Amino acid sequence: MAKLVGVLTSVLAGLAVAIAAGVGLTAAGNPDANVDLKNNIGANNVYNDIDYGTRSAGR
Amino acid sequence: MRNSGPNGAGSLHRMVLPICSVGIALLALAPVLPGGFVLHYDMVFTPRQPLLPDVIGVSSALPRSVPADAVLALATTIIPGDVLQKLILFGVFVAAPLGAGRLVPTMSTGTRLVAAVAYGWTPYVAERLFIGHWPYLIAYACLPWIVAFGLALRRGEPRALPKLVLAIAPAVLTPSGGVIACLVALAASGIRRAPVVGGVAAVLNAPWLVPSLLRGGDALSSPDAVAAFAARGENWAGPVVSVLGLGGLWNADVVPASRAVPLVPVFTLALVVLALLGQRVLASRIGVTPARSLLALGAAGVLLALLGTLPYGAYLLRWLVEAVPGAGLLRDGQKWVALWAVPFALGLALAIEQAARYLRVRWQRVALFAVAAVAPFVLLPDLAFAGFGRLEPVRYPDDWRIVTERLADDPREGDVVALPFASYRAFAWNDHRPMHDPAPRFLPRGVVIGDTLYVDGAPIPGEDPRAEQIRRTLATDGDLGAVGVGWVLVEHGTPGDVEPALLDRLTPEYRGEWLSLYRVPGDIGRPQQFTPPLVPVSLAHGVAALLIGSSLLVAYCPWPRGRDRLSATSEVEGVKWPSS
Repeated sequence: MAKLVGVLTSVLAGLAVAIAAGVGLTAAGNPDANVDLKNNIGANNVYNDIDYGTRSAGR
Repeated sequence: MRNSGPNGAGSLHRMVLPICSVGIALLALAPVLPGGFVLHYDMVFTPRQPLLPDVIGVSSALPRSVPADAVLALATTIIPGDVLQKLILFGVFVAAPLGAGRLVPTMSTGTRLVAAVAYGWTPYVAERLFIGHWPYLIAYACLPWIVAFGLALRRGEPRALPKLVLAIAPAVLTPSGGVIACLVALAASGIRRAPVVGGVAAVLNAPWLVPSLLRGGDALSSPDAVAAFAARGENWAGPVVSVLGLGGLWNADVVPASRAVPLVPVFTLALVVLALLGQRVLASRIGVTPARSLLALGAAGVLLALLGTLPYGAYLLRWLVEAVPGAGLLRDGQKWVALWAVPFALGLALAIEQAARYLRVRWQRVALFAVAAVAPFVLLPDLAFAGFGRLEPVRYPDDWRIVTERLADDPREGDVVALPFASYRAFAWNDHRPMHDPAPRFLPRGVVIGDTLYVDGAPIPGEDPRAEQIRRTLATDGDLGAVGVGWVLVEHGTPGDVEPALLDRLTPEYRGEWLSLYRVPGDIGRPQQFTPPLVPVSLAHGVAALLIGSSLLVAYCPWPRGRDRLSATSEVEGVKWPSS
């Protein structure tokens, strides 16, 4: 049990470092971040007549 | 119907449950087990999924299929994709009933069989299979095992924690499955173990949590999805009864026809009442606190599933998905009803066992158990034989292999755009079944597809900024090379138009019956970075894998196990049942 707690503690510490590194990298990187694109996320509307599904039974 | 001692009859009794579980799997899947791929809605497997950064979540899209894609990419390096798909589906259909049957605290084989069938043959399983949500099915199959090891951890049994980790691990292939599994683990293991189990949950879910947190765009979803993906009434009784009966998926196209039979709600309510009556017996055998915790979690699952259909629930959900990053997880609410499945199956089986005690004649008791075990098949016959032809295995046309080789051999940079620019296809070679575009899981390069979903023709905007960038470029006849696109793949034999003027500007590389490949002329730019950074995302996968690997060692390595033998079974209220 003590071993497992040790492993878990190490793993959690590693995860914390990973997240911290990621936050740092994200803050420093992505110079091309395009605010306009972000604001319009998901505006594409190309319909190829295939529905993901329907709520109407017996269609 | 009781287990006998360690003699021939006892061995036979012990074999009944595994045999029943394999029988359920064969009954459901027999027609699709021969070669070929089952390609239906979101279930898309490919012969060998490429190991690209996308599979671990280093992508502009939300990590909805992380780490499932990473696991598939690794697994298909040694197992062909179609074989792997069948192994997964068959494993799910065996593990779910087997886990529920082993979990129920009883010495009665009949009770185990009732629990097994009540858990393994449900509308939830049918609907999620037919919409292709195989990772949810894996999570569902893991839940009884998670409860078993969670209860063992609560009792302080040795090596219960690593076994719990191993039971949770398959369920965290997708974010929703991971959350469901960890909630069940927390409820089963109790408040005293919550810090440890919470830590385990965080690490196992890190592969999708980290890329979600570090993603370039936000993780907000369209509120339009709330109404479209809300639980749906499958018959005259409305969504509440449908959900209580473990059904109610939003998409009518994948719901078995038997769910609309007028008597189904009546039987559903009867089974729910029995399941609730059985909770008292369950509490007397596993303890009041864990039984209440599991029941409360089940009730919360039903409530979450119905939230989008309740008067103020829909408003709350719309606000959440629009304002809280990651709350899009809540929009397909019916998936949360999996939380109700375990207490439902255990309660029902134990209620039948109690009822059998009032019967003095053995054949009457056997008949009662038999009727209870057969009832789920009678109420949902159209899950059998893969929905009687709803699912069928097919082969990918050879064009896919040829295009894959062309792209792998070409040293030029650039992503692929798949046209028509949409998420779903209905190929003639797959009998026009709707299926997610296989290109991102087939081709050895980054593939951009449209990510808008349509429900009854109404659009639900996607969240991928890269898809939006490409859509704009296509719509304005812009330079695809400038946005990092080196290739255009046109998929034939599926609805949707492709602008001929666009293709005129490209260089044809391959023309087949089902696929055409074009090269974008000129210089190919570097794609705009919408992706989370590779290093922390890789680390998250690494630590999760490390935890699973170390748990495997601790749980099953052959070092001294004297204490384990002492508690190989647990005794509650005079009833012994296996703890693992």
